[in-house]
Amino acid sequence: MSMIEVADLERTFTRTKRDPAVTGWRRHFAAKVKETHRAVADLSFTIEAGEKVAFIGPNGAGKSTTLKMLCGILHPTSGRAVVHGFVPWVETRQLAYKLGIVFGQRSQLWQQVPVADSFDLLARIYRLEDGAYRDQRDRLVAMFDIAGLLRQTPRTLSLGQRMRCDIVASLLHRPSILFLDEPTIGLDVTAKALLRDHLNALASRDNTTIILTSHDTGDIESICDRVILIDHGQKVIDGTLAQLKRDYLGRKTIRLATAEPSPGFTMPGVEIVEQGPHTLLLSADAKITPLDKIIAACLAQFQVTDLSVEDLPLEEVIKTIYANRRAA
Amino acid sequence: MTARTLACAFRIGSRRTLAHLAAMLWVVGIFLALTLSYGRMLHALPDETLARIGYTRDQLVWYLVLTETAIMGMGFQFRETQEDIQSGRINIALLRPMPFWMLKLAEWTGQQCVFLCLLLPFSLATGFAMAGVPPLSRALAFLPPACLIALQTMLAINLMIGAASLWIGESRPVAWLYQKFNFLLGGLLWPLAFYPVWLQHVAAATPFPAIVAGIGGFGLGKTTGGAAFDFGVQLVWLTVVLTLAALIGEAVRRKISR
Repeated sequence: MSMIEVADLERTFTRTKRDPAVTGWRRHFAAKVKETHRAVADLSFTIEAGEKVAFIGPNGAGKSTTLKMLCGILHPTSGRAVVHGFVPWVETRQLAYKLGIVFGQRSQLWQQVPVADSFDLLARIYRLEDGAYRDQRDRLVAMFDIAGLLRQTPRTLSLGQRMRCDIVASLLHRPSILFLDEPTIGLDVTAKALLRDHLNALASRDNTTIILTSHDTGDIESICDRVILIDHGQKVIDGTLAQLKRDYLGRKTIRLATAEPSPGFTMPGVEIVEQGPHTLLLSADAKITPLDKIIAACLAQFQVTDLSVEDLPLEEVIKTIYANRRAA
Repeated sequence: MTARTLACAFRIGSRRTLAHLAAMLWVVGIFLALTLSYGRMLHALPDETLARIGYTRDQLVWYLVLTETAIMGMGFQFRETQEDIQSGRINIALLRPMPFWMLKLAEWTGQQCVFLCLLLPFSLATGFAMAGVPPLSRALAFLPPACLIALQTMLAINLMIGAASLWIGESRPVAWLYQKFNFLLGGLLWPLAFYPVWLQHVAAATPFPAIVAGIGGFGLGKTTGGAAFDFGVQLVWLTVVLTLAALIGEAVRRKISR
């Protein structure tokens, strides 16, 4: 059974606004005009148990609206969704026991009391047995390394510490699905890396399904193995990270260290990105010239002391997709 | 299980007050300043006025002390709900498998119960200092449960005021009206007996006397029968207000999800 099934999901919002043609004080008396905005349109996808899916798109693409519908906060205008066997907007309370939700910019902890007290209250809200709760709490506290933070109030914690506590809070009731909305927003590099490691450990250990929305491609690359990209409320891409990179760029970065002081290189489909003393950075389109031929040519032309082949960063891939769509 | 959850929320609320003890002491200071100055004003009331309404100055001072304790001890929490709505934190609360309004009320009750316990010694001391021993009777047995019921009623109204921001954007105008009604229709400084008869009838049709005058009445020497009747009225208003709070809680959920 799929963990999440979405079919033809659509959500439109209706706003009323004053006629923009009328200005000054008359504006307040101008007739209101109804304006319809389609945030999500004909969205369909399926997510299996244990998958780690990045749900990405530019601002206003409809990511948050979709997530809200999958949690049960928002009703769709039309379409169907089943999450863990429940229709989210109908069986919200039942589904709540199966979902863990983390909003990067909004804490779910009670701000004026120690973190441990928030955990205790959440355990009661989710009707956890005392023994089961203590086991799960202690396991998560060890896993996310927050033992030293339990007696502190959230407002005294750093953003990274607070986020780890928030994630533990959302996992106390052993949810099968974890929704993460910008979980690393505002964190420094070290805190981000730590959080990503913790999430990966959790996903591999508990087979938790993770749905992540983030503008940080580092999060997506480190945590997820599948990407759903939406734009203007519609699904644009749904595939694995590797597929995404292959299909939408097909370029590799080749980094060379040579004995030659100023190496130069020309070949069809290969561009020099950076040239320095004894170094060369190439961007190669493997569709034009196969990678093995390019490397063979490099080895033949230079006395190579070091060589590495890298995928282009996901950020570049996404930028390219958006640029292609805008051009289309 | 629900009772244990609410007890846990109550405990969290009480810890919130304890975490802000210094700020609470400021409120106690304001309470003292207000009751002492208004108490002095009551002492200046002419004898003929007192004879007309049938209360002594000391009774009026005790009425003042008790109504001020009720108003200041029960807080104005509507801002918290408004902030939850405006910041979007309400979404998290709505996704929990328990009505958010129940949890909020339990938490606020814990918060205000601790504050009332803190305020009460100061309130009694002020009353003793200005008016001597209060009118003692068996009716006083109704005072603690009456305070609890008034507290619940007031907090439920605060919750609804905060929720109003979802429809009107800003709760302050409604809160302002609520404060004025508490003052005027609740009989904050003066017993309702001072009012013209028509205004007494208007007041009786609202929950405000149950919250304010219902507590202050113990300072006027309520009879046991009178206290039992007032307690019944308080219970009726609590039922009405809690039902409305539950309906508004559901309306908030519907409004956000549609």
